[in-house]
Amino acid sequence: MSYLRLENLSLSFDNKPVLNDISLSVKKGELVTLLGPSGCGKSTLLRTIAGLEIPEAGTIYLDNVEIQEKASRERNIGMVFQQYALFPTMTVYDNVAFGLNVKKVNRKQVRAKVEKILELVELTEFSDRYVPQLSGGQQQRVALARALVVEPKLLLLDEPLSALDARIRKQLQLEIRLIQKELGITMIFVTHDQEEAMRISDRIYVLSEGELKQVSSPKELYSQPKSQFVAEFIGDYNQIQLTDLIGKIELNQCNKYFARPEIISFQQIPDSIGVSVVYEQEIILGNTIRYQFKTKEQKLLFVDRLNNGENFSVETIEKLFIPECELLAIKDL
Amino acid sequence: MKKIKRNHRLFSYIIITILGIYYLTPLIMTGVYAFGDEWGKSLLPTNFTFHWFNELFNDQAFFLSIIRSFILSTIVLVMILIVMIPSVIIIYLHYPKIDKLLQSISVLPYAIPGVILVTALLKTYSKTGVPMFVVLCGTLLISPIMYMGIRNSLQAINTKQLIEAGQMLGSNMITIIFKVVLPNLRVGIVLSSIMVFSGVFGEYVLTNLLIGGRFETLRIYMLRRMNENGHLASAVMVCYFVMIFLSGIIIYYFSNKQKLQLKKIKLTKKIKMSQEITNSAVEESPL
Repeated sequence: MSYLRLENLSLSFDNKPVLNDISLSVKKGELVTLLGPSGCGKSTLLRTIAGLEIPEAGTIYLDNVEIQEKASRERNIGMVFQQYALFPTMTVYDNVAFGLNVKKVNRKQVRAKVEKILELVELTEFSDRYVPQLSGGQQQRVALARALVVEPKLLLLDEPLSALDARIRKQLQLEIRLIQKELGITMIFVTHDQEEAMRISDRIYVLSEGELKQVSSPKELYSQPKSQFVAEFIGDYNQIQLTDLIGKIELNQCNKYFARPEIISFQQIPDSIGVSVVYEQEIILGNTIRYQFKTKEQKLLFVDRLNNGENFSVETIEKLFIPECELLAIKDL
Repeated sequence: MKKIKRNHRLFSYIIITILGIYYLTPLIMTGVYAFGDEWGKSLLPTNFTFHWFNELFNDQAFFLSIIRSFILSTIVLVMILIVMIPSVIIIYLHYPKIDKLLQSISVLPYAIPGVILVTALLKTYSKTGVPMFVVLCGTLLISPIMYMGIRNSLQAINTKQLIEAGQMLGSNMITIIFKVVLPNLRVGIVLSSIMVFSGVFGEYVLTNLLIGGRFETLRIYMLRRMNENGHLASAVMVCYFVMIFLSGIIIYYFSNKQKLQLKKIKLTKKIKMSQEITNSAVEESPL
């Protein structure tokens, strides 16, 4: 049973469509990510759910209630912004207490709730500090606490970690996931970082140009992309030209063929397709090394190997081998 | 490296000193002149005296002109605050197109020479029966200082997102404006207020030409006395300077006092609350 349901949502700015007939559903207690490049409409979609943008068509149901006519403040949806949007003239305590004070919760309860949530995000000792005195990571924790303390039905996070450095970002990804599981809260997380999406989500919705391209679990999204866009955006797939495949396997002219960089072999293996290449260079990506080759058609082909000290004499390689079973055919639309 | 740094610092000190001397000398000399008796033979006056201040303080017109300037500045400032703050906030949030138009309109009083402005105003309003004092206030009301001051503060704090954050937390617009937006604009409003106040206090062209004959402000008084006696005019200037300085401090103090009071209230609230908690704990305990 879906908890949040969007049906045929459409929105355009100045006659330019931003969201195009989007339908999606989120189960209770689930963490769903909206993933896509910048300008794909993911933040707009989130803001539409929040009530900060008004859709031109479509319906939004939250907990079986139609909410698209309601004002933001009546939806009981929490939101964490990319730039935190904390109130700079208030202390951490007052920021977090704001939502409760607005709801006229009695003071004792406010105090208890704020203290509990500050403990959860490990900011108890900072409660008297003013916002500008905190680091970026701490500010984002305050923002998270402020959104969580009012116990929203749904929490929306709009690229909450993109302004933070890599280490803090990874740490907060884990913490957000833990808090989400601990409180059992339903979350929608917007990001343009596929790694981040894979790390924290139960399910991922991929968006491009205002349209939903695919929805699947992180694992499935990587191994079974359903479109060229997803294949290239998520997994750095290599597109294999038809001319390299002619006569080697049964081809369908309507398809495009892709291969993941880590399954391509340097040596001949059974049931594989050989592609003639020339070696160009290696790129160090940290725990992997990416070897760059060029095919006869001057297309780039990448092969990934673990950066574990193993040496390959790649300079002399003239042919790469792609296992037939791993070759992915995607219908060319 | 260190030497270069030291040279840089020395260089900036020299520039600051030169500029300081350039700007402060006239001020100090005016002060000295106001207290000087006869000044023509040496670098400093031969005698110091309170004579000019005495004469000034015995002139009723002087005090009346101060009161008039004060009334004019206060009325204009209060009107600006009441009219401008809500308008700028509403326009900034909801009417970005009007915002651009108003930005250029608000500069007009500076772009149009005072004399032309006065002629236009006199021609437009002299037969309508609208008192010239009101016309003057209305003209001085259009202030790019205030408009741009508030607008820039709104932009600097990313007001739109703060309001969205407030809405998402279930708050209504009025609460958001009073609790979130206005506290953030405090510094901008205070600074603009001081500038507007001192600007109107020292305004000459419009005031003199529109209502100068019937309504002698401090500035008009000063220029009148200047023709009579330079020492006296310097004494007026010293008083004028002190007054502007003091009103600046007072406005700043009042706006800060609010904040201090708020802090005090919060502190007492906290103390009360902790007392309540201990009291209830005592009540609840079996002993």
